[in-house]
Amino acid sequence: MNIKLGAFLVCTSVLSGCSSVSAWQKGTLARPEMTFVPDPLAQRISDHTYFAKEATSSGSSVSGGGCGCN
Amino acid sequence: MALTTAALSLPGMIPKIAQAESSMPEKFTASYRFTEYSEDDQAANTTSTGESVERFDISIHQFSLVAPVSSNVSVNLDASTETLSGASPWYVAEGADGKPVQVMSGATIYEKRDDVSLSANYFHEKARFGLGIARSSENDYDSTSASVNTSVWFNDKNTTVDAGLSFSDDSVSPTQDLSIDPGRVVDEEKDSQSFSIGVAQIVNKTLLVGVGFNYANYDGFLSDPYKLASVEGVAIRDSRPDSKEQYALDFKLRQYVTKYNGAIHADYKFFDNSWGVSSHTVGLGWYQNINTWQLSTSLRWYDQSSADFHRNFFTEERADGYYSSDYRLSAYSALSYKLGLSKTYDFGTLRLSYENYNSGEGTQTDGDLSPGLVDFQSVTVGFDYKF
Repeated sequence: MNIKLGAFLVCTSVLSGCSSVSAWQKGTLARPEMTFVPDPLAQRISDHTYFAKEATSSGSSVSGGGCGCN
Repeated sequence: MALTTAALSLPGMIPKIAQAESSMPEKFTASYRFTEYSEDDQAANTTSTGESVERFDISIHQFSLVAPVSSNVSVNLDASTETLSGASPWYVAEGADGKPVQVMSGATIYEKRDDVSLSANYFHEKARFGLGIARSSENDYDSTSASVNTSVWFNDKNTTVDAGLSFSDDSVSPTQDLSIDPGRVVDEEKDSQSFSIGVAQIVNKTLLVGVGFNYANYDGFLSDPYKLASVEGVAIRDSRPDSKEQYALDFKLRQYVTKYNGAIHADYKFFDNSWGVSSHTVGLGWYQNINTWQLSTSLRWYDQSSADFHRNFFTEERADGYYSSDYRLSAYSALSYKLGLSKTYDFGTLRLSYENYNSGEGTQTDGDLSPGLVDFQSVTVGFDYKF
């Protein structure tokens, strides 16, 4: 796991070295489809369903720590 | 059987991966979603009785309000209520031909779950600080959770670092009549803690990437209070370790394609836990803009290994005493596709989406698939109203 954490930290430091995009150039990036989660409410239901049916929990928080037993 | 859904009340409070353009909301937004979720019947040739059995149908109403209450403080209130009915897998037995067959719970179960969550975010020029609490309740399961999280922006807001902690305290109080099931637990507790960190980076005017890491641990009653496992032909209680650790690493990419006025979504997640389950999740999507309409389509492939103590049925006792035949802990793969349609107006957005999920043999499947694996479809309709 330490190796994976190390790899993660390396990735993040590489990413932070990227070039800068000015605020006025971010119009496209501000579009809804360019967000990581375009519809958070629908995604919540999807995450909840996957949590209840798969062994992998959402990975975003401990919520979903419920039994999900059906 | 009622524990279905228990408490996925906080997602969204801690982003999986930071949003590079997180900022103070300018308007109030009220949202509503209605989802109808329906599992395929348990097929006749997979049940112990040789008859098909209806599995779960769930109806979910979600309400959300995002309220910018001052120039730098925003409050989110979310609530949902859901009703479900159907029969649930109980345990797996060895069929006449040596193949596994699913024994179902028998009676149709009706259940209701309500949850509410409240969070507040304070926005500073270079950072955001958030707090959240959530509560989920069913007649046999309660969960209370809290979270604290932050985003920090660097490099002209081209880089966002997110970090969060969350805690959950859950109680299980099975409702089944003790005279019918004298061996079941009465009141049990479990708690969990989670830590997340993520970085999002704007690479250029049309490309956003992110990487996130999450660690969580669980302590307490982690078995399924209603399920059994067949050991040497005798059905005994589902029994799992009383602690579990897990971590997940995920990557996301969003590429806008100017020529086609659309965007590519590519996601990958690796997950591993101390029960022996590891999984890969791959997502690919395309979002097509057509004037004020948007059509989206996406594929999701999921593949997991089984828990160390999972078998369809056990032909000998295990030294550690842990047994489960829960299909969720089996080795399998699932492929789902989603279609979405939205229409944007001055006042907000109308939304419609559909998902079809099918599970089957996976790369780690060794032997017979669990007969309890589920296929489902769901439809969601809703709107976001800005004012």
